[in-house]
Amino acid sequence: MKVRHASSEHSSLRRHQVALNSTCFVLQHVKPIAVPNAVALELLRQELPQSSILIDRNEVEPFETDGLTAIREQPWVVVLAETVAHVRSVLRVCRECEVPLVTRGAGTGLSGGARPNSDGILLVMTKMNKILDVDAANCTATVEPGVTNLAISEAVKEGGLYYAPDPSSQIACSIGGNVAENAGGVHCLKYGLTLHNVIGMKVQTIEGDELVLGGKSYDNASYDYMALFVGSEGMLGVVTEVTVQLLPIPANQQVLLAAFNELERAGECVAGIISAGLVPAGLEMMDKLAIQAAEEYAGVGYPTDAEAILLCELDGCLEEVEQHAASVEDLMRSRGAYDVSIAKEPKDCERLWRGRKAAFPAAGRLAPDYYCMDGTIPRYEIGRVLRSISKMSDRYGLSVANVFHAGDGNLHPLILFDASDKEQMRKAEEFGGEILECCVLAGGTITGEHGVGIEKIDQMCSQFSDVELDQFHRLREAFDQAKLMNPGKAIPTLARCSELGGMHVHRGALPHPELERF
Amino acid sequence: MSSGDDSEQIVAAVEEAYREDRCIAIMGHGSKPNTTATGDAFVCTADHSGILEYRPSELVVSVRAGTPLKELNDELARNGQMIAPDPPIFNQRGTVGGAVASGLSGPGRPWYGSLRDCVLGVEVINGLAQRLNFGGRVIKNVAGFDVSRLYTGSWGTFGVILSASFKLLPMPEVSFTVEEECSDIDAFQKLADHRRERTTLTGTCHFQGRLFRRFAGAESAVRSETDALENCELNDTFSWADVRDHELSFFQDDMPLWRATFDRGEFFENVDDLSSLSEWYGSLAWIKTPTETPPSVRGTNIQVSAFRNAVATKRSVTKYASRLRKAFDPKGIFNPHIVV
Repeated sequence: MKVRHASSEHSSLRRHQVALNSTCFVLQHVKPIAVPNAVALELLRQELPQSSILIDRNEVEPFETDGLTAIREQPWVVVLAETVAHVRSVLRVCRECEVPLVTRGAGTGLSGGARPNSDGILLVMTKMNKILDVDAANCTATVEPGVTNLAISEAVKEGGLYYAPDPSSQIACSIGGNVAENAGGVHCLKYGLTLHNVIGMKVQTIEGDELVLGGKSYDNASYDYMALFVGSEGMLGVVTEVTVQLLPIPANQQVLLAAFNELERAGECVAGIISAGLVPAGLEMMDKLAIQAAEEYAGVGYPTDAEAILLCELDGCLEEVEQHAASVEDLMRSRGAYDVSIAKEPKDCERLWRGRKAAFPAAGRLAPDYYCMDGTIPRYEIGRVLRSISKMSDRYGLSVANVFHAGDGNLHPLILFDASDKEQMRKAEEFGGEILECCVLAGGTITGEHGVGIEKIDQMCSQFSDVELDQFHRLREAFDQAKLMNPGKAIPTLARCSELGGMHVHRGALPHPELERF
Repeated sequence: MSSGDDSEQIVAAVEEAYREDRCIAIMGHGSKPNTTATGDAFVCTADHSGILEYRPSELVVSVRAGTPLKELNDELARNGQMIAPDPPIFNQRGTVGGAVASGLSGPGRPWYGSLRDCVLGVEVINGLAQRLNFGGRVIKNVAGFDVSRLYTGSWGTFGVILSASFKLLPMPEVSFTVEEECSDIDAFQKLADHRRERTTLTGTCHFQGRLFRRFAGAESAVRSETDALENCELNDTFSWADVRDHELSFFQDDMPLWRATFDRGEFFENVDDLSSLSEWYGSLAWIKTPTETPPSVRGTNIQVSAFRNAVATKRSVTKYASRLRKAFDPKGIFNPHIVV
């Protein structure tokens, strides 16, 4: 197993993205070189086409990492599933031979959730990429999990429909991966996350059952298994079919760009817009460093002298958009924006968004590497948390560009550093952890939309108590008693949290004294 | 507004049941029919009430389970906000905890989402008498399994809900109801056209040969849409809360009442001269039957449940449902009479 840094790579979508938190973890827990499980391999070969099974090192190497490229491990075997039967075969082999299984979509995840195991099978779903049914009359589509997020919208565009959640990797990320991570995007405030837009799915469990969850009805009498499976990071089952709800493409759209002299004014303006009863389709904020980087990269006309900008998108029918745009403009000006411009034509709206969407690659030009955080906080804490981050930035001597989904309180501070400098790398890691802990203290969460994966597994110990983590483990065991699915991800063991020292003792009592912790 | 922290007593009651291997039935106001409990003891959440945190600019409210839903709605309305899925308040009663436990949504469900969609977090007591927090008070949160939404609609079988946080929406600027005479088939076809357009439609109700549609949102948009409708009249007395709470005359009798849900694109076609009322584009039907025999309903994937004065067919417990329940409540102390 190797751990390499992203900066030496050129293939990944986000080659500058380096996550550090768990690098040490990976190093500490190096597994011995996997002993190939001959029986399991023989079984796989009996049931699957030879072309679906990759075992040569040069064939499996491209799968050693996902979007979190600092963390790598070569899988023992890669299976490229083409049918539900293939998936079921893999699950059966894993169950019978006790082989760990990691499921992977397009590999764009940013938290290392799809990092393989050297003694396990990596089940790759991207070949299951058929759109099975589009029911335009009822605004639903049923697809295989390997279909990309954007491909759904493309397939239904002619019928005037689209799929709302739009993570920034939407051109490449798969709907199966979106389900596993409960992916977000820039339009969550109005249109929700993946959870709110997936209405049905088929899931294969490691015990060999197929679960048909949800469907085209508006509610179900059973437990809400879908809520449990969406965002479960591949630990409960393998999704083999997804039914999503589609929305009519809004007839009208306007984007307002407001420039502020003070970051906090922009934060207050966000609260003002929400308090006024307006729900923008998107409400994004960028700070000076991010504005300058994006402007230099994309040249879209952002005010480079501003301390902060807000981008506010309104959509709907014409009367509504006109009325709300006027209200938002008034609010922006009265809350201290020194300049407000409104884009009404689609090409102008697209131009303003282009700068925001280029913010990550643009930040990549500011330093050799950046580390993207993903905390969420209550909106009223935006000003205070940004001040804290700025102080930390001085203390660590590392710059931060702030780009975030202000409407959702979802921060994406980009810590800029040079991974070839060991000291900077260590500082960036510490800095990132401190930001997440600051988010938890502010009443927020360690991850808004990127997932825990392996990257944030240690911060889970600060967000949840032992009894809560223990409850997560019991839930997991309801579907995977042998704990073979995506082992070591998303939910830390109690032992791990104890070792970190931050034991979360609840109400003065150590829960489950009978459990071994060390 | 009523307010009080009764959580220690509730935890103590669960601890005792756990220690002594006794069962507990959980109740709020007991406002939902067909949830009569036969447990050894009751845990009542009604005294655990009050708003824990409410900042209108956050569009989030955190509230104790025993808070009357009506009081919460009034407080939110004072700030021009609402829990958009609008859970029912039967007989003027019903608690926030009961709403989450039953997971029922009001007439706006297809447009505003279901109650579970707006649940952001819960504090619960599981079957080991542990107080647990899941989710939180922020809109985006993917840390850990989404247990708060799993509790929604679990009918108390995973434990006691102590408090919940909800995502709120601003109340629409205006809300108009238009009424017209229309058969159930015509109503269904008329409504189908709405699906593929962005309109301000936020509610449908069809019964006794009349279709009611609610349009709500920015005044300019609602006016231009309702002005364009033909053969309809504005009705400013029709109450959507009465639809939600079963206060309409349709519901005012003792006949067995069934709740049937249909896939998008299907609806209840009233062939047996039964009395019915439909919502949600026709995808939700309330059906009254002269006897306790369930109504015959055609379509794919229909779910019919007994709602009032009727006995539900016993549901079988699936392997995973039983394991989930055990994961929260290993001794099976909560609501043993309920099968979800």
